[in-house]
Amino acid sequence: MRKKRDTIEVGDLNLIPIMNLVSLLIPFLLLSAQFIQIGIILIQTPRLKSNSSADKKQKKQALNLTVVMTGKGYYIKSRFGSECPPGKTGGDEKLCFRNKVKGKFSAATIKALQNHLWYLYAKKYRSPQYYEDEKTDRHTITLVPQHDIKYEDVVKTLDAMREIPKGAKDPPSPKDIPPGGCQMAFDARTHRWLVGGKGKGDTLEKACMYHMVTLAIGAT
Amino acid sequence: MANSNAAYDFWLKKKKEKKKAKIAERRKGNDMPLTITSLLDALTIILLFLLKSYGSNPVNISQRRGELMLPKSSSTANMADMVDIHVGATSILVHGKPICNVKNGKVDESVKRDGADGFFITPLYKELKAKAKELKTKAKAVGFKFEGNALIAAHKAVPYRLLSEVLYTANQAEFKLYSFAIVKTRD
Repeated sequence: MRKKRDTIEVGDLNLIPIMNLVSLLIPFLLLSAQFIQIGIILIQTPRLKSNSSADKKQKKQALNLTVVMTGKGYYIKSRFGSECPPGKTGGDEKLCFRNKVKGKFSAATIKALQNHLWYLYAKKYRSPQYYEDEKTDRHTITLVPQHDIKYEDVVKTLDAMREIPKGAKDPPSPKDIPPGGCQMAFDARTHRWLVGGKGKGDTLEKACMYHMVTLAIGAT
Repeated sequence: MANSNAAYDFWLKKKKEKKKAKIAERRKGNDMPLTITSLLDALTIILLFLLKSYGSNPVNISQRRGELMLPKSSSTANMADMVDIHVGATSILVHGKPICNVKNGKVDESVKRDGADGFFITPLYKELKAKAKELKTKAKAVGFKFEGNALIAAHKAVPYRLLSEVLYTANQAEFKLYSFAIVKTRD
């Protein structure tokens, strides 16, 4: 007698539910996906309460380099007074770099500011005598925007302050500026921001100019 | 002779019939079902890519024309996980929760502690203070010091005065270090 073999019939794999799921998820994710990269600019605010004698002593010695931003243009000052380029004393209007159109900060004006800041950073105030802690103080600057300045223009100014300009002549820009510019990264282990980031080499001296910006609150 | 011719014709006829039957069977076999394996491969890869890019940023910032368009910047720094404050053209939000309305780049004076000229935005302060307390508790549990980091995603046309008020209020709520969200123009 022939033995009947128990055969298990295996049907074809039904891919329709998987296709359903995929077809529903993909449009949803496409709508919420971001194809532009979002980054950050790090800034700090001035200490609102500073009564200690140590702080008062530090304020005496700090360079206090400040950029005032108004609709008419930029004015730069430090504890020594006006820091405008030679020939531009600022005058009554207190302007080092003037906007051609009031309220509009052109690329040329911002570039001129950046080049002059580079001169102050790399030549005029290069010596450690101006700083208590050269590693931090030399990269510190204060920005004081007027209240009606647009946030977009503040960001452009922050960019100009942070990066060493390419093609500057007095003094000449370094030739080995990393393509990523002044890079900062958040160290999740210590919960602190570091310049240069892990494994990216030391970009502090090669690409960073004034990356520690203090934004004035409530000024003008 | 006639017999052999008839036999030959019969044989030829049978051969042709066999050939026809073979061709018909081959044609049947050529009607293959639609294979969607490669399509499913492609869709799975797209799905994985989108899932990865959806979860890659610690904070989700959705730009909307007229409400929240971030300015462009040459900065290459990436976001970290921190309290996010959205300053849009019509509202201020903290972690997606609406706090107060904005009109013509200004917050209504009724929500400001010191009136129209003041900088202190009361509802924003309350929300940020609560967040700071929560983060301090978490930091203590993990063994870190609360640094007071906040991410500010502001619309590019917002006047600096409004930003000042938000920064002042956040400062009062113990947030001292800020990151401005921007759109990267380079990697």
